[in-house]
Amino acid sequence: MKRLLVSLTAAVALCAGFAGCNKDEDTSLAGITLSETSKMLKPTETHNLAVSFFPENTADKNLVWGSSDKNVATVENGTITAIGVGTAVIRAVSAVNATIYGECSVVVSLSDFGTQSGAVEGVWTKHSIVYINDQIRVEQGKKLTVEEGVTIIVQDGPVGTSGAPIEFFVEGSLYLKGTKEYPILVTVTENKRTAANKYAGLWGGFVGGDNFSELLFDNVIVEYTGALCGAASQSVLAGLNVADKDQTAGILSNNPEGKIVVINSTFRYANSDAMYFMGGKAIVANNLIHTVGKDDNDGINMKAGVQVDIAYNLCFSVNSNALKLSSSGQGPTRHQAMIRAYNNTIVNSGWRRTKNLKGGSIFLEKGALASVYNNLILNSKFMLKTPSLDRPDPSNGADHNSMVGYNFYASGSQQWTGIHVGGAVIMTAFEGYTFADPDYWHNYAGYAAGFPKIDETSLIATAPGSPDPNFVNFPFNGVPLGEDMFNPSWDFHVHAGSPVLVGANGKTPRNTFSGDFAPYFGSTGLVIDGKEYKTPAPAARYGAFGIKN
Amino acid sequence: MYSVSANYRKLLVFFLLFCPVFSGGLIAQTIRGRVLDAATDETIIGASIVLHGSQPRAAASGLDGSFSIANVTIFPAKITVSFLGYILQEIVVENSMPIVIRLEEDVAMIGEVVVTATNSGRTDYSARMIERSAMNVMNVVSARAIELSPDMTVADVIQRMSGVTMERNSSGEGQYALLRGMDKRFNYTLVNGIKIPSPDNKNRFVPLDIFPSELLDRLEVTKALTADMEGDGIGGAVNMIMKDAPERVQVNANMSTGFNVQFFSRHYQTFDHSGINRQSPNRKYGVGYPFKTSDFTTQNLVMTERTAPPASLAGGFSAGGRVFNNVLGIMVAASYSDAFRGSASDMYGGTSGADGTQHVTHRYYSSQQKRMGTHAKFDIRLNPNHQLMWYNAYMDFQNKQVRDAVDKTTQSYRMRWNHQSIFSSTMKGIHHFADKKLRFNWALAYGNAYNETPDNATIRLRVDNEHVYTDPIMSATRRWEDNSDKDKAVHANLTYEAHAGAMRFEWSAGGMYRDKVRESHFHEYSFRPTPSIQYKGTDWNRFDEIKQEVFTSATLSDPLNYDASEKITAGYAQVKTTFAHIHLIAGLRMEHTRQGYDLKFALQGIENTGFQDYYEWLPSVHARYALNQKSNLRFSYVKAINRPSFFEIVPYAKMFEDYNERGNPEIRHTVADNIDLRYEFFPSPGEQFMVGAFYKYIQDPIEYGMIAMGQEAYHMPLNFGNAHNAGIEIDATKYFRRLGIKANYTLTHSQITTLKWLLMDNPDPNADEKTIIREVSQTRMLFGQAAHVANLSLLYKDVQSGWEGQIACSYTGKRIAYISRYINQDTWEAEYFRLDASVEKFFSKIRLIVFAKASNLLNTPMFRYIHPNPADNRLEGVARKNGGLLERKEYYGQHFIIGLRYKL
Repeated sequence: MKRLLVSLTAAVALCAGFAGCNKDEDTSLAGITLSETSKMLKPTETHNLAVSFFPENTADKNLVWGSSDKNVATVENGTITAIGVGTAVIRAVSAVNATIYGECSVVVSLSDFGTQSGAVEGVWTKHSIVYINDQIRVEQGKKLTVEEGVTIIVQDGPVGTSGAPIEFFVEGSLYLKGTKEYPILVTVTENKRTAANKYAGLWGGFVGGDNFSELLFDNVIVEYTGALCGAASQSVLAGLNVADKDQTAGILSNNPEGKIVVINSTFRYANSDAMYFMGGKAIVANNLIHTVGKDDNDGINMKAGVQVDIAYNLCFSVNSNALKLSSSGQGPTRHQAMIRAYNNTIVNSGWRRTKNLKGGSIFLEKGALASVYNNLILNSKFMLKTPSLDRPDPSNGADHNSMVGYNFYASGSQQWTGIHVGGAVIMTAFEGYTFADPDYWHNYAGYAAGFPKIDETSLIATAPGSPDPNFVNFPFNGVPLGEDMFNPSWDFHVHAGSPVLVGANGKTPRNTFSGDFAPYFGSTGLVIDGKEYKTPAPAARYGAFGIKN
Repeated sequence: MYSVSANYRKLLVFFLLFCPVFSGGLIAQTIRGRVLDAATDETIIGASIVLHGSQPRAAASGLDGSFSIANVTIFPAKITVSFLGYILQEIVVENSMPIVIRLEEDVAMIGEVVVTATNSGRTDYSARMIERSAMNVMNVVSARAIELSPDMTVADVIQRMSGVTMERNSSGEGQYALLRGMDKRFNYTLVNGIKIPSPDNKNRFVPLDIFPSELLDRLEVTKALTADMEGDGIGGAVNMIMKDAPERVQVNANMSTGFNVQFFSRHYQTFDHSGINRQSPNRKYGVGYPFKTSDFTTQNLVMTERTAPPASLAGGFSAGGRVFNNVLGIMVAASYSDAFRGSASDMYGGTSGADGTQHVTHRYYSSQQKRMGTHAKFDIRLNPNHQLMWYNAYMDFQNKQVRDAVDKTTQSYRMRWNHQSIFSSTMKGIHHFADKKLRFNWALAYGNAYNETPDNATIRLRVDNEHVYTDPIMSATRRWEDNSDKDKAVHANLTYEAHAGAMRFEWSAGGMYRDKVRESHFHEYSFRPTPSIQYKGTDWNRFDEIKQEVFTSATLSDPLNYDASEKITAGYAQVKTTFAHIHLIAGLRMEHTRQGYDLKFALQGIENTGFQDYYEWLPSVHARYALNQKSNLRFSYVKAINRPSFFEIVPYAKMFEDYNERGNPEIRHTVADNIDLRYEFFPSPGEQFMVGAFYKYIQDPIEYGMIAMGQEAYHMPLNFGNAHNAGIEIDATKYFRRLGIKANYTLTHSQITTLKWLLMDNPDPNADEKTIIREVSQTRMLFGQAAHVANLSLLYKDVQSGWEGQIACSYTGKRIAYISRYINQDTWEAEYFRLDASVEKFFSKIRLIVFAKASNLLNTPMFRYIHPNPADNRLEGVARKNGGLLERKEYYGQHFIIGLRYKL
């Protein structure tokens, strides 16, 4: 028995010893990285790339260097020499394992450009090229003005040791003053601007933080935004996004006291939402939003703290909802979301969403107060939805003071060829508009008193293809529902007599615009950088475009 | 100390009143009596009583030590009374007057030290003795009670104690004790009186379900701290006393098997975790390493289903004895269990659609839990004045779980293997000097706790009318988490006894220092499918066949990669005095805390290093007044604190189980004043009746609430204000020969007033904003606190036949599960009733016990719901509970075990 006790004791001691045992060391090469993944140079300039080996103590550190185009750049032992205009990929391949390599894409350009990161302010002068290679911000009380024709190239992917994609964070004011002739382009390096990257989310986007003052986007093109946030993303550190879950929108805002004007601009090729406002008085008018959202993303996404006019925007192939209107986040210090949305044209919306049926054209929910009228919803998956309308609060249904009507839901005859999300077989937009959907309360008879009649005054397609809006140049029954590439030759103006102008089946667009039908910033506009911007007045027709002049 | 004659008199009166006494003649009479331990007056259960002569008969003593032999006609009668380990006694009974038989323990040498060792609390009786003679308010469960109960882990045991509620994990098993309904954070866990580090990443104290109950000698729950105890137990302290070396060599072994009823109606899901890389690619090679798809194994993505319900297996072994002339005591124990658990949970959306249907997500959990515990306790009795003890434990817990979540449009499968271990080594010494007037005791403790969840993989799928296919955005996430804690502590106490006339004083002073370091890592990788839509059945059948590539890891520099440290320095002085019927302890403790964190990767915009540094003075007074020999009155006042956990002060923000979570470096520690009053009555050995009342004023309790930041709502530790907490406890134990009843009930009333949001129409009709939110104050119960907690156990024991059994039920009243920002929208966990039973049969010839245990017999579901309120009451087509909105319904299934236990 004593011997048993002793041997058991030894066994116990052995167990304890194992608790602290070590793993064996493997020093074979697992990966290499280069000090930069992209670099802009002018001809004859040189740049030295540093190499990191993983694990650091790997035995063989021999590399084979090469360039994809020696007419653009050459490389020798990590030193790049820029030769001629163009792009080239520099690659360092391990001599022991050819599947292990590091890459740096080099853009050689004749233009003058400045590299910017960190705290910025002042003026970026017109027609210049600015290269942003790390996190960048405009501090509180500071202003940055970008003049017409400037091209801003943002380094894609995770940057620095933080491993987070770049966000342009504004706590002061940012004025992007493009012109129709010379818009400002905010993009990535030229070789990355491909169709394959349309939803790649190569960089974050613009973020107006807790204290931003003014944001102006006039004639700006913003593309390749919507990267997934990292732990070191500025928006995550500010508490606006969650790492590994949220993607930065083209413009994200958080200060209810801030002012935002987004006009005449284009937001495209975004992995996430084009705009996501959680605060600010805003005008969003005359913009083109297309090819936006890989999945579960919206076009213009408005939350509590926002008072906004959304007018005359053209939204094409937004993944889920072109307009998402919600007062989520409302609280004692963040006021109800207040939205006037009129004369927008929404095309091919909602079809690309695969998550569930929560997206089709417009989503009005979670305590939002909205007037949504005179919009043209075309070939989209669903009509405006108001989920949980029986429970109006910032976590469920929309405010019952909302007004939804005088919209035109048009459907071509083309049929959906993709997957049927959630088992709902919806072949045409018409079928989506007339689908027995739990979020369609317009036919609901359960609540009589005080329940808003959603889309009671709206014109809804009576069959696939009818009524036809009679566009100047858009194949109403031809463009596939899942098409997400925007054709610039399309013209959504209409011919005389179109139902867009005069209505049909006894339904007409709204033609008086006072009270709930007046924009918030139509008579008294928003003053940004000393200039007053007013929302264009509503027009008595459906959608952004009337008769072709 | 305890008067037997009083007891005897009582029995006498009882029998005089109710049993007619006939003298002489041939009329049949009954021999009645009780069997007690001569040294301790402890009830001896199961002693054999044999009547000799022409009518030989036998009986056994019951749970209260009593026995009876009826129809005895010949007096005087000769009986022999025997019990293993005691000297057999022969008694001549002259008449039917009840007799008391005191058996002497059969130990050749019983030194002074031995006596203290035998009163170890291993039996129920000595547990009561400890409760009774303790200077502060405490409850004790003995090893014997644990053996007999249907309980498998310490967590199951503790929930039977008065004022104890359990917080359960996703398989429905208790993990943390809530004392008097207060959140788990308000109490701490000790092993042999020493704190050991917790492997849990969020909680300071060890989850109780990793301790097998058979390693336990007894469990003590202290509800009012003395100055020599660590001060961070506002609710109290749980002390697990591990088995000691017995005087005689003892060997116990047990083996059992079982199953969970759930897996008869659905398949048990599992996966192979053997190929998992314990370190993430970037942990292995560094944060700058360009991770690639080939760094990840797909072996752990193969999920398999078993149609036959898997059988649990458990075994335990303990042996102990003394060698070298009883100088060295050795107690070793090992236990292993491999149990299969599961739960099924439905989560309900807040409203129904216009079509009247409510969105429901179904979740099915299948878990395999392996527990291993080894334990070695050595003690050296150099002489009666000097003793040394060395205790070592290694505990290992593995939980392999598949979570299968399905709703109308999505499916997700999470395959998670979690491994936790604790190694603890404590050396203690007790030294007596100057004729035992001066006592010095010390302890050196080292603890190492480790927790890892490597390659926690979630597969994300979508559903259309006929297909299941990959989520095109993110088809999988793989997450690595680990933390390791190292504690080093030194404790020293000096006690001096003095007499001043009739008064006895015991002065003590001491201190402790503990240095704790923690290292935590967190990496997560996201995968996307290429091509983006791959159909189940055509493109893949098993998850490892999905073609996917890693595209990002956003968390390489996450704040959850941190080092934490804590240095506690404490000192105290205390005096214990006895005069007349009063025992008094007064003490003052000082605790200095320096708790901090240091992020491994510097991040802009947040504090990369943080410290909390504070002193607290913690006075305590305990008084016990002996009303008479059977009853005590107690009073105590204690000031105690509660510290934030190491994780809570780290400024992280992360999506975990169901919520976004966020740390709070601003969180303040809690300070509370506690008053306890208790009346205790011990009618006979082993029986008790206690009534207590308590009041706590808690400043800055740390509770979890939802906080809005941007669009995200974060579940976050917060100080909401100050709380009042008052209650009454009743605890009773009563035996009737073969039957016993144990019951306890706690009524708690807690109050905290906080600001809540009220959604209302804007009183200004001209404003643009139609609906506004105002802050209003609302008084509620403390988070996690149940107003009513009750336990009832019925015991049966028939020593002659060897049968014993127990039926145990526990009731926990409704309590707040989540604190909402909105008024009247807190989520409550509904009242919960649980019934467990056990039965065993002892085959004395082969010293073998066959036992069976059944837990959660009624398969009671857990409900979470929101109380009825005007906004929710209008809703149609929604699932309801107690008139309010149902949020979650969870079933755990019955669990059955049968086994063998062997004792030498």
